[in-house]
Order: sequence, then C-alpha cells, then structure tokens
Amino acid sequence: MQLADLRHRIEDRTALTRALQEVLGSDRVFTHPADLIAYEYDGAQVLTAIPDLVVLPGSTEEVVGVVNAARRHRVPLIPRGAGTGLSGGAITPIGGILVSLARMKRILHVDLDNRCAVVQPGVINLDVTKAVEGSGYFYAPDPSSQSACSIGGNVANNSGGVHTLAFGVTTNHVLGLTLVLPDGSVERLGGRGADEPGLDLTGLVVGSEGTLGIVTEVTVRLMRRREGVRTMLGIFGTIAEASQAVADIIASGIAPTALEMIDQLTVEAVEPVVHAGLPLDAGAILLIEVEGVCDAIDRSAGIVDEVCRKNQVREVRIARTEEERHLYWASRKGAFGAMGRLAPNYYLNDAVVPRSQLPAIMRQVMEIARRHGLRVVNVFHAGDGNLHPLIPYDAAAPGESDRVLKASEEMLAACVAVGGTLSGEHGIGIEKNNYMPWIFSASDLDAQRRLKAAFDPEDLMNPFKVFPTPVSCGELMARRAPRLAASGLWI
Amino acid sequence: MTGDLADRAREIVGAAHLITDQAALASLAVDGVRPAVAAHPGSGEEAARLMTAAGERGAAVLPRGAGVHQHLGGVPARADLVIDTRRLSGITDYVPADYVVAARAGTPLRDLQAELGRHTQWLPLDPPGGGAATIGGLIAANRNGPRRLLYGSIRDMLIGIRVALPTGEVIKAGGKVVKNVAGYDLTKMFIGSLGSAGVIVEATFKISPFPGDGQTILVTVPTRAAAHELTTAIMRSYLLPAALEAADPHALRHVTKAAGVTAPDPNAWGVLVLAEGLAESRVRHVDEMRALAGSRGRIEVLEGAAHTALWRAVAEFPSPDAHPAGVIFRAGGPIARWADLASGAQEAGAPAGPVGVLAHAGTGVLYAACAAADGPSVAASLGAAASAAGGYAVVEAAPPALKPHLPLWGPPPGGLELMRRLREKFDPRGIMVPGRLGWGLS
Ligand SMILES: Cc1cc2nc3c(=O)[nH]c(=O)nc-3n(C[C@H](O)[C@H](O)[C@H](O)COP(=O)(O)OP(=O)(O)OC[C@H]3O[C@@H](n4cnc5c(N)ncnc54)[C@H](O)[C@@H]3O)c2cc1C
Ligand SMILES: Cc1cc2nc3c(=O)[nH]c(=O)nc-3n(C[C@H](O)[C@H](O)[C@H](O)COP(=O)(O)OP(=O)(O)OC[C@H]3O[C@@H](n4cnc5c(N)ncnc54)[C@H](O)[C@@H]3O)c2cc1C
Repeated sequence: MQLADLRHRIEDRTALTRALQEVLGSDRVFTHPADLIAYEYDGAQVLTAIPDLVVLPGSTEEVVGVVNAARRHRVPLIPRGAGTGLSGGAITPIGGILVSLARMKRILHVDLDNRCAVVQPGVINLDVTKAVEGSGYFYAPDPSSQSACSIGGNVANNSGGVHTLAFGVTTNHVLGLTLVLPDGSVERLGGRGADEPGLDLTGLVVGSEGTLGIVTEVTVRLMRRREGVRTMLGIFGTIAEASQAVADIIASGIAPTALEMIDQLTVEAVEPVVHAGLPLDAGAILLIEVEGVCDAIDRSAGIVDEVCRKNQVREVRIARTEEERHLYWASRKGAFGAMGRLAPNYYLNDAVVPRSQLPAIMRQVMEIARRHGLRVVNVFHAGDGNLHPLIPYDAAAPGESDRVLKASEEMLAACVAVGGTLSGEHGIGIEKNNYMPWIFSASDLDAQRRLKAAFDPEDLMNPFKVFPTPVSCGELMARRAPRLAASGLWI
Repeated sequence: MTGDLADRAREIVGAAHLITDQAALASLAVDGVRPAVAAHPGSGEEAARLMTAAGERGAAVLPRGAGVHQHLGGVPARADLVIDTRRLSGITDYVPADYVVAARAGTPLRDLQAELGRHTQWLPLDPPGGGAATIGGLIAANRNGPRRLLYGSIRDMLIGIRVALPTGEVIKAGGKVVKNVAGYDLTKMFIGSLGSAGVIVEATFKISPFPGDGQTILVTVPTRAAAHELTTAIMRSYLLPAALEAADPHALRHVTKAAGVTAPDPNAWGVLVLAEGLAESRVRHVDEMRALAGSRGRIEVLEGAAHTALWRAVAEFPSPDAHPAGVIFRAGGPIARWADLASGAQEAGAPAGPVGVLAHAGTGVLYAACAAADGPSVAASLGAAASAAGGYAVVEAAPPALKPHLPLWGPPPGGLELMRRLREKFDPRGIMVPGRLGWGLS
C-alpha cells in the first residue's frame, strides 16, 4: 500500500479553517505552504510530510476549541512540542492538524517545600531547572536536547537523560497531568499525592507519544540539588575495558549519577568544537559523575578510581572547576550536534540491552557496520545498557541510505535477540512501529490497543504511530529527507 | 448459573489443585465473604482459562496471593472463584550483573530477597507484610514502605509484567531492561489494581546493590508543630536519608515498643531518620541531625538489632494486626502538608480512643489508626483535611460490618470516566473483584 493512498482527506477545508480561526484568530492558524513547510519534519528526519494546517493554541481552553473543531470535521490531530523527537512522532504522515504547543511555555507554579512545579507543555526542559536552581533544586530528567526540547514532548516520549541511571526517566518525575481528550473533554489526572487510589492514568499517558490526548499542563517533581558532585573522565584503551569498568562501578554499590560512554570517533568530532582537551587516541572515555553529601564524595570518587584502575584505565581525570565540569559535559551533550563534521547526514539508533550484554553487543554493532562498509560512532548511556550507535553517512551517495537502514535494522535485531528492546528513550513513532511485533505478540499489542481505544475510540490522535501500519518501514524511510542537521544546534 | 464452574475449574487445574472443602474455603473468606471454590493454577495459561470459564458463567473472581491481607477496598459483592497464585512461584530469570530479576507472581517477597541477598543485592522495598506477601500481591496492592524516600516505590522498580487477562489472553508488558519506551507502559495498569485487571503471573524488577547496615537517628520533640519544623528543616538540608518518619506519641510508643527500644517520653512526638550507605555519609547524617535537633529535642542514635527492629515496626505500622479491630487510613498529599493531614486525623473531636499517626514525612504519605467507634468521625475530618490540602484519604482496613458506613475511597478522582472505559475494555464482563474498587469501578 502507498502512503499517498492513506492520506486523510479534509472535506471542507474552508469551514475547518474558519472554525479554527474562530478559536485562535487568524494569526495562529497556518494554512500557507510556506508556513507549513517548517513543520515538515522533526529531529528524526525520518520522513517529510506536510501538515494540512498548523495551529498554535495558547491555553487549555484553546486546545479544547481546536480539538472540537477537528472532531466535527473528523480530522486527525498531531501534537508537537519543540520537534526534536527522533522517531518521527511529531510529523503528520497522513496529514491532519498539527497542534504546536510552543506558545504554552509558562511555568505556572513553583512549590519548593512540596518539591513540585506546574508547567505548561511548551516549557523548555532546561527552563524548569533554571527557574529553581538558584534555590538549590532541579528537574531531574535531562535529555541531551534539554536546551531545546519541551516538557510535553518529554512526557509523550518518557524521555531519559544523562542522569537517568540514578534519578530515573520522565515517568518517575511526573506527578500529574491535564489532558485534553480527542472528544474535547478535559481530564485532570493524578497530582493528589503518592499512592493515589484509582488507576494510574498519569503513568499510562507518560510514554504514549501523543496518541492518547494533548497534554496541556504537567505537575513535575523537583529534586533537591546534592551538596557535592565530582565529575570524572576515565580514559580507556578499548570500549571493552570501559564496558567492564561500567559493570564493576555499578556492582561497587556507590550508585553513580551518570555513567556515559564516549568513543574515539566521537572525540574526533567533538574535540575541535568543545576543546575539552580529550585525548584523540583513546579507544573510549567514560564520563562518570558521583553526587552526595560532601563527606562521602572523596570516598565514592576513590572507589570509582580504584575500579577504573583495575580495568586498565590509562588515566582518570577529575574536573577541578565548574568550568571544567561543563566542558566535560559539553563533550557528551554536544556530541550529536558535532556529527555534522563527520558526514553530511547521520542516523541515530537507540536500543537497550541487559547491562551484562553490553560488551558483546558493542562487538556485534561494530561488526555489522564493518560488513556494510559503514562507520559507527558510539556515545551513550552505558550505565543503563542504552546504546546509541550513530552512523554518519551521505544521503546523496547512491545506495548509502539503504545500507544505513539495513545495518541499523540488523543492530536493532541483535539487541532484541539478547533480551533487549526497540527503544530506550527515543520512542517508536513511525520509525519503529513495524518492528513492534519483534517484541510483542498479537495479544500484547491488542492489550495496548484497548488502552488506545479507551482514550481515543475514533483514532484521531496522532494516527499511524506506535502500532504497526500497512505501509512498510522501507517506504517511510525511503523518503528520508537528505538534509544536514543544523550542527551544534542542540549543544 | 455458576453451577458447573467447579467442574470446569477441576478440568483446568486438576483435582489436586482445586479447593472445594468448606472448612478450607472458610479460611479464604474475605471480609466474611466465603468463596464458592478456589483454584491454584500452575501456569498463566491456566489462570487465563479459569477466568474465561468464570466469564462464560458470569462468576466473580478474586485473585489471591499469600492472602495476608485481602481486605483493602469494599466488601466483595460475590466470590465465586478464588485464583490463588502460590503455585506460580520461584525466580525465572536472574543475572546478578544485570541488576534485574524476574520471578513468578506467587513468590513470597521474603524468598526473593533471600536469593538476591546471596549476591549482596535486594529489591529496595520494605512494605508492610514484607515477609509472606507475594510479589504479585504487592504489585496489585501497590505497597510501599518508609525507604521509598531514597529508593523509590514499586512503580519505579517494576519494569516488566506478565498477566493473565480476564478476557483469556496471557500478555506481557514492558521487558527485561531498565529503560524501555517501546509501546505503552501497560505495567501501570496493574500496580494498585487490587486484582481488577487480571491475574499477574510474573514480574520483572530492577534491583539494587544492598546498602548494608544503617543507623537510626531518633529525635523526640514536644509537639506536632515542632516535628513538622524539624522534618521541613531536614528536607531543606542536603541530607539524603533513606527514610524520614514523623510519629505522634501513640505511634512512637507503638513502634518503639514493638522494637524493644526504651520507651520515650509518653507525650513526645518522634522524628525518625534512617541513614544508610557509606560510613562517611552516615556519620554526616548523625552529626548534622545533632545540629538540626539542637534545642528542639532529645536525640538518640540506634544501631544493630534495635535499629533493624524499629524500621520493621515502622513498616508494619499500617498492618491490621497492629491495630486489632481498628480502622486504618492512608492519606497522601503535598509532601510538606503531612502535618495538616495529621491534625485532620487527630482533631475529629471526642474520640473514644487514641488516633495514632505515622507519616512518611519525606514523601507525604500518612497512616492513621483509630478504634472502630471513631472510624466515621476520623474519616470525615481526615477526608476534609486531605481535600483542603489537595490530597486524598482512603480507608485501608476496617471491620467488615463498618465498611459500608465509611467513605472507603473518598471523593472520585480525575479521569474516573477514563478508568471506567479502561475497566470495560479489560474486564468487559465485570467479573473481577466486584465490590472492591471505589466509585463503582468493580
Ligand atoms: C541532539 C538530540 C539529543 C537528544 N537527546 C536525547 C536524550 O538524551 N534522551 C532522550 O530521551 N531523548 C533525546 N532526544 C530526543 C528528543 O529530544 C526527546 O524525545 C524530546 O522529549 C522530544 O521533545 P520535543 O518537545 O522536541 O517533542 P516533539 O519532537 O515535538 O514531539 C515528540 C512526541 O511528543 C508528542 N507531543 C509533544 N508535545 C505533546 C503534548 N503537549 N501532548 C501530547 N503529545 C505531545 C508528539 O506528538 C511526538 O509524538 C534528543 C534529540 C536530539 C535532537
Ligand atoms: C488494608 C491493607 C492492610 C495491610 N496490612 C498488612 C499487614 O498488616 N501485614 C501484611 O503482611 N501486609 C499488609 N498489607 C500489605 C499487603 O496485603 C501485602 O503487602 C500484599 O498485598 C499481600 O500480598 P499477598 O500475596 O498476601 O496478596 P493478597 O493479600 O492475597 O492480595 C492483595 C491484593 O492483590 C490481589 N492479588 C494478589 N495476587 C495477585 C496476582 N497475582 N494478580 C492480581 N492480583 C493479585 C488480590 O486480589 C488483592 O486485591 C496490607 C494491605 C492492605 C490492603
């Protein structure tokens, strides 16, 4: 089946536009192709698709108005935050109304003693921490894209971050939500305290990739900043040694807050941009952070140092100043942005394996890349077993995109084969929905569809995502935009 | 209508695993409601077939683990079939280096912890009834203990689940890795479901290194206000206690007595801090607590057996055994509002007996226990205080005869209509635990 055959047809576009303009005024309803094209793709660049309309509501009430108009015309709704998503979740493969929450970016309420804040979905992740760090608090989930991505997108994708190892992912930090359902009703879920009676609807909505409703308000948990932090770099000869050190650090019981792997090609790309003084000839670098009360930091750091030495570390560096610490982190968080230096395009994979499988899977990943004549860059959340093999390539070179897709599929299959999963944080979207049967039986998927049907019986919310579709991945991927990521954008 | 259910169940699980003896069934009664028959399935598929059989006959099903405490929620409207999970026991997958363990639902938490302990690991969960309770029951009842402050709740640890659905399928959700966003997070359907969503047959958890010995810092202060001031100061400090409790004089006497610790001043409130982890960190906690307690109150540091027994007693405070024939409430709300909930529970007016209060002061969950006669008035005033604070209050245990007269579940939550629709999708015939969930959800 062709994607074009499935495109949703709007019967009365004029009436729909008018209805939306009645809710938002004409300046927040976009219909002109020149305006729509900016919403053609997201961070995944998996596929381009032009939405039929783009709207920018500014409040829950306006979202309700938009939903009601869409419902009357039976047109799909696609929520969008900052558009940094990496699985195509925020684009419109079969058309529809793209609902940008970018205007809803107010922090409504901060309550430090109760360790929570109420924010609108368009608030940028980092802005939550910025609003409270002066008082010694922070919002824990910190994706590398945190200076650009929105809380609404984080909630939809259940995003993780570099401190997930100790603090968990988004679902561990969302206390409640306001959700506009596709029937136009507004539900306030959760937010009344721990172990609230009733079904955990908040927990079901987090990670649902915008397919259950539009999130218009989020109550997030705030955490107290730790008194002391020590950031270290373990410089290793090989990825295998670094991987073993990861396992041993976790087993030591000190609970580091971050354990990130940066390989040699990454250093090559990022060092000329960030100038953190990372050695260009190290096979792998571990970025390790320990936090806690100051009294215990030396001891924790000492244990890390000892473990690294047992695993043939070449050198352990300790950030001596806050500036140095930021440089270390810039090398990690800026890695993807710097990939533009390696090739015009890159394809970023995301999969998770049981932690003990990490060294073996890294060997397989390298082998698969070699077989397809591709390079692979590894910068990832080693402590969680969440790998991100990144393949730099040139989409303009004939056949290269196909090889990249083939290799990526093989890497994913290898991860699944050792008990892993399809995505650790980037989501399924339209990138991996047809792989879902790799890990879920027909009954498993049917149970997930029941959840979908309870929220969205008419399938108006973000259709064509998460669940397998009649269109093959191949067709979706073949239309990948040969575009260069704006390098450095997300540093 | 349910006449041949026992015969069908016997075909499914075999005669040896079916209980029809009246005396044995009487011991499975929930709130005085005796089941017609009980079956011990040997697999998830058998559990699913049992539910299919029950569904075809419109029979009511009660999943059951160790059955230590089945009485959360309303009195069962009917109990035609108990599905007992205890044959489904044992660890199914455990690679210590992965820090992940999978076990069948009927595995007692105690057995799981014993095996993990051999590798200096544990599931960092210290729920009431932690010993005999099965992991399926713990998930279904969403039980958490005082250490949740540092280690999180069962919701944070459960990464995968296998469930026999009332509609007859055996499904899995989640997986065996610590980070997973493939598909919806259906594990959340089953945490706190009290058996309504199906029979949990296996669960996978992420686990942690065992932290080793800890220390208790017990500060006694004269009033609730002083206790609140101290817990607030601790929460604003850089300390990272594993647990932080505030106990009123009754609760403090109760837990110290259970732990065999010297009785504190009979009128004192207690603030209990649990320090675990590196020695350097524990020393810091003791030192800083001395400074924080300062002139506010008396400080005592407990270690060894007394320390261990005290936290066991704190975890067991919400257990019905601890308050025979009493009424036990759980309330939750904004963390720092625990003292408002406490005063709601204790200012019900003209009580027949004491109202004991123990708050997990770092997570905003509070337990209150009173005599049956005071149940209705405490329910009213605690409920009002919880609503005013933006929180909730529920009855966790009460004599069955009193239950119909108590607001067991409090006012309806947001999303009730969605919960109804979900219940209908997953249990279309409404056979699971009828009468147990609030607001007509089952
Ligand atoms: C350089 C780079 C680094 C990254 N690093 C990480 C990382 O470390 N960890 C990680 O987890 N991710 C990472 N990501 C992925 C991405 O940033 C996250 O998935 C992020 O949460 C997406 O947020 P967004 O606001 O951009 O959402 P979008 O891309 O706009 O949307 C993502 C999904 O959320 C839905 N959505 C958005 N807003 C709402 C709403 N209000 N209501 C309902 N649904 C909504 C959309 O429909 C879509 O399905 C990275 C991306 C880039 C480009
Ligand atoms: C009001 C109340 C007070 C409590 N006080 C105590 C106490 O004093 N001491 C104590 O030991 N524990 C106590 N607990 C904690 C709780 O009972 C146990 O921690 C745990 O739920 C018991 O596990 P179990 O195996 O005995 O489950 P059960 O008590 O048999 O079942 C608990 C709930 O889970 C459901 N269930 C059980 N197994 C499954 C399954 N596999 N799939 C689906 N649903 C299932 C049951 O239908 C029931 O709703 C209390 C719980 C409640 C509700």
